[in-house]
Amino acid sequence: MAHHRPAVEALADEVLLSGLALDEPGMDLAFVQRFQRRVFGLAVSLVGDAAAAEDIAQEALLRAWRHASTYDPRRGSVPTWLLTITRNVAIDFLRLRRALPTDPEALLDISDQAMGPDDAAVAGDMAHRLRLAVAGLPFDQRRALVLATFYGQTAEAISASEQIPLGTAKTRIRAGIQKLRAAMTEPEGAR
Amino acid sequence: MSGTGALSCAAVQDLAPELALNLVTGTQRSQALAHLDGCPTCRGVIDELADVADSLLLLAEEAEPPAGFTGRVLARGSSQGPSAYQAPPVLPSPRRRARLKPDRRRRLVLTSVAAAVVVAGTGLGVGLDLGLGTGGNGGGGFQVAGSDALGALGGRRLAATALRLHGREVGQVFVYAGRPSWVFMTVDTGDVHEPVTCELQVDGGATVVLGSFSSSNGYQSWGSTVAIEPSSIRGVRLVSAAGAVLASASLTR
Ligand SMILES: [Zn+2]
Repeated sequence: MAHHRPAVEALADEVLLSGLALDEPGMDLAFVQRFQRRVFGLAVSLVGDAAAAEDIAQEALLRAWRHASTYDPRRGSVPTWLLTITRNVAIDFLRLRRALPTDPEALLDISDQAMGPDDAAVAGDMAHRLRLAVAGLPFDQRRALVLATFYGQTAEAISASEQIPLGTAKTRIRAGIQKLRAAMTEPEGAR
Repeated sequence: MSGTGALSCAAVQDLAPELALNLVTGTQRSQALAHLDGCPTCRGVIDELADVADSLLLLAEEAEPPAGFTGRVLARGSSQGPSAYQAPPVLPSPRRRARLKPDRRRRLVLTSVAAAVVVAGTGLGVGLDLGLGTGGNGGGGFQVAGSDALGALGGRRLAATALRLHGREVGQVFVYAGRPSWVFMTVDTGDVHEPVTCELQVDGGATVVLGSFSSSNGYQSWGSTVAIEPSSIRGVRLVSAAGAVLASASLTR
C-alpha cells in the first residue's frame, strides 16, 4: 500500500475549525490533538498546578468546540482565539479560587529553546522578534505587561498588587506594549 | 473626530493600551466603543496594540497534557454536543467588535472544506476522516452531516477507540462500515522515523496487514479501505519495521 499524506493534519486551522462546526467526523479529535499542547501549556503556565490546568484546558477546548461556528478568521488566528479563551477561563478560575497568579515573570522568561520547531515554522520571524523584544524590556514593564495580558489585571489592580501609584502602573503597561509594537512593526532589516 | 462619541481621539488613544488589552470597563468602555465605531484611525492604533498582546499569548510554552486528556475532552464534548449553544466565550475586544461583519468569509471556508473532501475522497480514496460517520455529537445517530459532497462518501461508524502504548493514549482509531468500509486513525508515533505497518486482528485470531504509512514527525493521520467484514475486527496494532508495537487498540463489543 502506498504512503498517504496525513490529510486531516494537513487541513488549515480555519478549515479544521469549520469542519468541527459542521460536526464532521474526526474533526473533534484532530482539533483537540492539534491544539491541546498549546492550550494546556498556557493553562499550566497561568495557574501552576497540573490538575487545575487540565480542568481549564478541557473547558477552553470545549468552549472553542461549542463555539467553533462563531470563530471569525478576521479576528485573529485560530491559536490566538483559542489561547484567548484559555486565558479567560484561567482568569475566571483564579478569581473563583481567589488564587494568586503563579510567578508572573516566569511566564515570559522564555528562552528560544522553549519554542518548538512547529512554532518556529508558523510564527517564524515575528515570534522571534517579539521574544527578543520581551527579553529586552525592563523587569517592571515586563511584569506589568504579563499581569495585564496574561492575567487581565487592570492598571488599578496592578497598582494595588504591586503597591505602586496608578500612574506608574499605567506607564509601565503603556511603555512595555509600545516597545513591543515598535519592535514588531519596525522595517525589515532593522533588527 | 467630534460627534462620534463623548471621547476625543486624544482621550481614546491615551486609553489605547488598556483598550487593546480589554482592561477598560463601564462607561469609559462604552464611550470608547462608540468612538471606535466611527474612527478608523483610533481603531488602527488599538488593532496594532491588540495584535501585540495576542501574540504574547503565543509565546507561552507548550506542555504535554496528562495521559488520557484527549479522550476526556472528546468524551465531554460528545456528551454535550456542539449544538448546545451558550453565551459567547470571548468578549470581543473593542477594535474587533467594530470589525465584525456577517459570515461571508466563513462560507468561503466551508466551501473549501467541501472541496477538500472531494479531492481526498476521489483522489486518494483514503486518509481523510470526513463524511464517514459521526464525530462530535456522538448521540448514537450515524448519519452523515454536512453537504451532499460529504454525504456521498457515506458510512456508519462501528467503533472509535483509543490507541494505546503502555496504557498511555497515543491516538484514536475509527472503523467505518460502508461501501467501502474504512479504518481511519490519528496517532502520535513519537520519534519513530520509519514505515509503520498497521495490522488488524480479526475474529478467529488471524492477523491481516492493512497497509503501512510513513512516520516522519509524530502526529499522523492515516486510513485505508478494508476488504474484510469490518465488524470482525477485534484489534488494531501499529508495528514498526523492526517489529516493535507502537500502539494498539482492542475493539470490543
Ligand atoms: Zn479617534
